Amino acid sequence: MTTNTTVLDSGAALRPSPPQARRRRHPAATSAGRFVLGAGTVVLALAFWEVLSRTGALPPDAIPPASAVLAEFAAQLFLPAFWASLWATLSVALLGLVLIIVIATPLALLIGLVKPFAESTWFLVEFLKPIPPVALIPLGLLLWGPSPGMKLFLIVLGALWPLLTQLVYGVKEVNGVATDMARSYRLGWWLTTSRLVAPSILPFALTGLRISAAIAIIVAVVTEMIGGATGLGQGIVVAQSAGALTQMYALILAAGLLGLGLNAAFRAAEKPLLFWHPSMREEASR
Amino acid sequence: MTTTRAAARAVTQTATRATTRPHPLRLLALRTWLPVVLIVWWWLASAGSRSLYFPPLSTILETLQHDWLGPGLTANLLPSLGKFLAGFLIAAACGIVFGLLIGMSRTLAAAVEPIVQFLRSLPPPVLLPIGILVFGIGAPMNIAIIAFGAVWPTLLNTIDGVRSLDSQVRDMSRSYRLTLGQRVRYIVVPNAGPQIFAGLRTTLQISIILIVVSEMVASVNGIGYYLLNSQQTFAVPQTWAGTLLLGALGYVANLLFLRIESRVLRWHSGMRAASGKDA
Repeated sequence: MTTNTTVLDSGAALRPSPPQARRRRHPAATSAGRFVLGAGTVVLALAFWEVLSRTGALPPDAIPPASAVLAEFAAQLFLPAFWASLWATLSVALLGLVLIIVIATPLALLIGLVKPFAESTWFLVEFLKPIPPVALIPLGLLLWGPSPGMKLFLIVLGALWPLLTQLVYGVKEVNGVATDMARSYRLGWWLTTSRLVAPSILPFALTGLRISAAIAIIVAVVTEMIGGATGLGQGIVVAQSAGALTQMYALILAAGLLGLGLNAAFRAAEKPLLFWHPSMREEASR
Repeated sequence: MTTTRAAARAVTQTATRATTRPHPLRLLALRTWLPVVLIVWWWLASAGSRSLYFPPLSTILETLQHDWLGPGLTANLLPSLGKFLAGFLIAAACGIVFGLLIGMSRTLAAAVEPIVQFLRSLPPPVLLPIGILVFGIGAPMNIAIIAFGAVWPTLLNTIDGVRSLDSQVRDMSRSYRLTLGQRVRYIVVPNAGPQIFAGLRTTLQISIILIVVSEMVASVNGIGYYLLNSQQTFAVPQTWAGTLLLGALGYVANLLFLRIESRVLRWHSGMRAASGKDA
């Protein structure tokens, strides 16, 4: 079973020739095997969707066949309007993330290091954190109308908290035995910052930023859907009300790929930045 | 011997913590002064307000009481809460069950990985148009959107939690010849517990987002409907009142969840305290 191959994987280089080594390798053990399995399932799922839609098992006026959606998606890739709306969504989300970093970093330092500040803002932060960001959309629409500024405001207010929380954890993580040791070794400001503070905070910062990015995209798309600011969300709603089903599905596919791309970008950034972290070591030995 | 050392460490920790911790009354004062000041400031600054967009706080609170403590409670609040709970519970159950299945089979995990990653990355609100087409407008659609959109954090965290099982524990459970049921019940689920709950918390937050959005787009009652409707009719105090209510609901839901989590995972926090990891 799975246990066999895991042991085998990590220990194969160390142990000369255990009896299990002669057994056939598990299909999911190699990255090529995993790729084939994954790609196979995707193709299978698409084929299944195609058949269900063509035969009418799924309502064809609600779910068009997969081939039509994929063809429409390919056609969209050549339309400047598609790229414009994609950029409208992505640019505001990225700008929001930059603002979030600028706001969250000093706040996290204050909360993590200055005790009275942390206690004074405790209630406020704990109250604002769980408020669903979409609750503020009507208020934002009322005050500013469907503008990029409104979108930006809602993104910052909704996606600030994951990064802030993670950064505070990170700052607190630094404040411990390691700081005492750095002090007794007289490491100095630069060495302490570069060797201790930054590496301790970085994993938390990246985790927080990844969650914040996901929420930023969600808030951006929702404000576009409901508020009518330009972007992917608006495109989806417009396509739906115009009855252009394949276009609607193609845009939804694009929204998913956008999220996937953003996630992959963060993973790619994590690898060189956090190669020393236990979570990465585990991943590498897998 | 290690236990006594750990216990000693725990004692010294609580001792130092007790000395650094301020007096409870002082702590209370420290924590409450800012919110109190803000509310008083809001109240005073908006008291004589004639602005269309910033009505007096007293008017907002009156609207809140009038709209939500009377018939509004059964007409809008209860349906929303019911749909939210149903969707959340379905998402949680599906996430845990499928997460356990996928986490325990490497073949299955490799096979569904691309699809799960895609669906996880999809901003859930974009599913709304599909939901409307398939289910029409009404409660089943709201519930389906929550269940399908919010299941992913729990699913992925459960998979990770199952996979994180220490290989020694896994080997031991094999040499003790635990049956599959015993392994799941006593080893896999407790080991994944903390991570499952971390996923459930995200699922909860997404569920709240989705119930609001789905009611805004496709519903004839509920908080989201009320909120968007009052915005579109320029009923400003109502918009503010609905926003405040939603904030309060999000806060309470989170609080309840944390209570349940600390209850279910009591053994885990006890273990962390004993091993000094939570210092």
